[in-house]
Amino acid sequence: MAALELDHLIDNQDVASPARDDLRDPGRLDDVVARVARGGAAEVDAAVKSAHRAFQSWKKTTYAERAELLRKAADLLDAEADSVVELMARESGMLVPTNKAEIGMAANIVRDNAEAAETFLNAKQVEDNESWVSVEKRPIGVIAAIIPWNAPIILAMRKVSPALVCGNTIVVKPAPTAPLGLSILLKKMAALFPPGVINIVHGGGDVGHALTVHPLVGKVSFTGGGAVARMIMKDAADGIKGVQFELGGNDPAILLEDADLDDALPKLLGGAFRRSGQFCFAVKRVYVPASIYEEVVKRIEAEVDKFKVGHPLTKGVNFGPINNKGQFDFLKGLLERTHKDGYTVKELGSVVAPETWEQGYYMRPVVVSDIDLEAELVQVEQFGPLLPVVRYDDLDQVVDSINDSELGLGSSIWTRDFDKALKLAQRLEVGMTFINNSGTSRLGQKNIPFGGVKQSGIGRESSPIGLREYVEYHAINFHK
Amino acid sequence: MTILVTPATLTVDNFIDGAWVGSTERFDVRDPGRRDDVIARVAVADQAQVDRAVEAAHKALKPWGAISIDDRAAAVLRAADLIEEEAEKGIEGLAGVVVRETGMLPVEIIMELRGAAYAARDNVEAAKVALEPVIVEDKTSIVRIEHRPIGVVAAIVPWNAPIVLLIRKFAPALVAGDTLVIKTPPTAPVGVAILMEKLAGLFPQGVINVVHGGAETGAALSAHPKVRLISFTGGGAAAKQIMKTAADTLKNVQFELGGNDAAIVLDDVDMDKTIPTLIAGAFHRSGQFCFAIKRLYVHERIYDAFFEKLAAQIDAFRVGHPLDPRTTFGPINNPGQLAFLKSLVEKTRAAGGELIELGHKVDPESWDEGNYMLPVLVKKPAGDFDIVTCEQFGPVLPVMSYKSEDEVVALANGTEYGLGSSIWTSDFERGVALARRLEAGMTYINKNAQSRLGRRHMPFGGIKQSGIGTENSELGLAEFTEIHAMNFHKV
Repeated sequence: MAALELDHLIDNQDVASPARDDLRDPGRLDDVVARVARGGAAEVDAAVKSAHRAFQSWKKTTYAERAELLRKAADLLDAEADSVVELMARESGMLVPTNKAEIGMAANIVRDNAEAAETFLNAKQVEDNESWVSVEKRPIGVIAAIIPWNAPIILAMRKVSPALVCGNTIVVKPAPTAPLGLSILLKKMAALFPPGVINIVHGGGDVGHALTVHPLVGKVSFTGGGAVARMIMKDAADGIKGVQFELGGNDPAILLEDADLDDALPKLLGGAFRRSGQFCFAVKRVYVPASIYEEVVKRIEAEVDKFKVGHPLTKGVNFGPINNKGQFDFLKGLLERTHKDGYTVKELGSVVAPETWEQGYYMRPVVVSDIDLEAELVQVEQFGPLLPVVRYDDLDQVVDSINDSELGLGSSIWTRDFDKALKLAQRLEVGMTFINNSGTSRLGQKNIPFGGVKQSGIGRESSPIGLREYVEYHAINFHK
Repeated sequence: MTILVTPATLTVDNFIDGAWVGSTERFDVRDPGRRDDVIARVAVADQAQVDRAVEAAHKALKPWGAISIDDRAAAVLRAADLIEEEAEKGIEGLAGVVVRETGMLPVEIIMELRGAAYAARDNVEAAKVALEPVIVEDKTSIVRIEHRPIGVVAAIVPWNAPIVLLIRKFAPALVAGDTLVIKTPPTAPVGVAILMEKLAGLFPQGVINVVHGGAETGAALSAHPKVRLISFTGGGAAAKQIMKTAADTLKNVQFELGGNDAAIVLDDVDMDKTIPTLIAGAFHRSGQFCFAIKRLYVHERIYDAFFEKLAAQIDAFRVGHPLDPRTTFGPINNPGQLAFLKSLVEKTRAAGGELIELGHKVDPESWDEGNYMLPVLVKKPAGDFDIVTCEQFGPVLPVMSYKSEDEVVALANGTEYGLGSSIWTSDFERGVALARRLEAGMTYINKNAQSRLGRRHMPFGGIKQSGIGTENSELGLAEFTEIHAMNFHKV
């Protein structure tokens, strides 16, 4: 297949740059999927100015007009999904059904944000004998949205849709290792809106920096890693800009003795190994009571061993490669150190096409048992298919160990007893706790402010609380 | 000359884990109205003391968080009562020392203490709404959203209204279940320290800690990994430094910074009613408050008459020591700010600005012993004069004329700041419509202050470079919490 040429989108025009970067298939490194325009400060400036120009009229549109366009955008995502799911598999390494589900969920996120804004954007007015107060919400202006590679459509829509429905315009920087599917869909979406409302600039850290420091950018919303977040926050400090960060986690899954294992284990393992473990709120460590530990480990290993690892477009594959070399090397190193530490390491699953194994960033799913609370694999975020399963006798010790971390994104609890789950959840220092599943229900998608505590993030996304990130308050106080 | 009795110099220490802690290094706090008077010798908190304060606050999180919201609210309400009792004592109480260290008038500080008591009560009211869990349910799942304490809060407080600006952080933090390390302003640390030690008895040990010092103490606090939120009121330059330091440990920040607040006088105002209220909005605290009127725009049709009446009334101010009963206008808090204001005046003069110095010196012979300056009006300066473009934070007010609402909106919005603003009109609809065109966090109409209802319901804060986040109301309360969302899946 010939490589596609992927350009920036500025003022609803495709804009190229002199330099291009090769986007390679992580499952077949010889395959250049696209040649992506490499932006710099000039493209950022043009995109931000375009967004700022568009903001002057976009901010005057009504909620109803904006929501209507977003609902059309959501329908467009659904309609166009099939046209990009295979390209997405080739750039991110994620499975086609995963990509399809991602786009469907992204469309719902757009609808949910459009809906939540209806009451959210209303002014709150109170009055008494001496005065009248109106607390109004205004758009911020130009939002910079910096998107990661692991679930780019969902994670971009969590920023684009609340930003736009509140009356902001946006410049999106896709991830260098997964810009294609997102850009194709965003460009189609952008055509629904006035030129400049949605802009795209490709590139690496220098583009992110140029966006963050641009004086016409009012806020930076970033999903990704903590190290980059620190740099963004320092850059944002010079302009006293607000930031919203959704960062990593080291999310524990706590099994209680009364868990319904038949129901729990497939869901829990989906939560650990979907996207080959590459998502922010993936189950990153499992805590199992000693009384059922041997049985659970055996069942987990048997279940994980069913994965068939290979290229996502190869028939029969249900477990894709790691997205990029940096992440792949990190995981390999972590696996090697875990081996050396003498824990029980089982490399599971089967290899679908052994002859092409070395041509991509492949690794088999790994389950590590008989592992200590303090082990590196338990204490760091792996962001990949290495799952430690920790035995516990004392739940208090588990809670202390979980809370004694700088991270606090998600978590899950598996039990038949809701009250017990609630009490345990309330002891965890995290932003989200899922009970008897490892993700949000449809109701949760609408209502849960998604994000983490401590160094897992700043602010929240989705739900009326997430919308707060995209407005400024203007309080008017009339004295009679 | 009125004889002011100089009380003995106080020794003020850091307050850490329920006890006063001294230090080898101390700084002097001087009366801005009579600089030879050293009010207090204050202990500087070094790195080790900041660490101890944060550790104490961190240790107190568990016991304090385990107390019910109702009981936490009750403790904050008792604190409000104690602050109000202090206000009732007049300058015999806490207000006396705060007057002496800030240079603000007794009536201003007594009002500030009453305002602080209200701020505490209003935040408790807001907390009852904001902290309530949200629960939704359908056939397949239950979602429960709880607001949890964010953890240890660093509250960094400025000198201009230290008590009320601290209580805006103190009350929401404590009712939300957080604990506090407070850094006092170096030119007004005494009242805060005395009040906090008094209020600390209402709370478990370690919930309230106070450290003193300058930028180094602030940096040590901002860098500490166990601090999860920095709530800062002050200037933009310090805010940038704080945010850069906070970035290393990805802390939340909430900033209430400066403004260059425009007041727009429409041609339909009742001048006699408006002018005294507007003067208070500009010259209260000798202009040293964040949402003071910093630029005044008067419609050209009424400009001359308005300016004349304005100048006549400002001329009645008697500038002197705040404890002198003849005084109606106090000094500037510190020599740095006074020098900045004088340089602004000089620049304006050099650029050809028309300066009108008003008011009277209460005690001309001791004038140079304090940080005194007379209130100044600048008549129709050009839009690019420093006095128009920068925040003066003192009693120098530029008064411009304008022709149309479009013109004045563009002028008012043509700044990096966006804190407050005010509109003066006899027409409600016109005032609100114009307010909606201003880029500001707050717009006051016909009085440059919050009404009783406004204090309870208005999120206080600014946009653009005037701040991040907000204080007061349910929205401000949320800054002091973390959200924990729970999603129960029905099998």
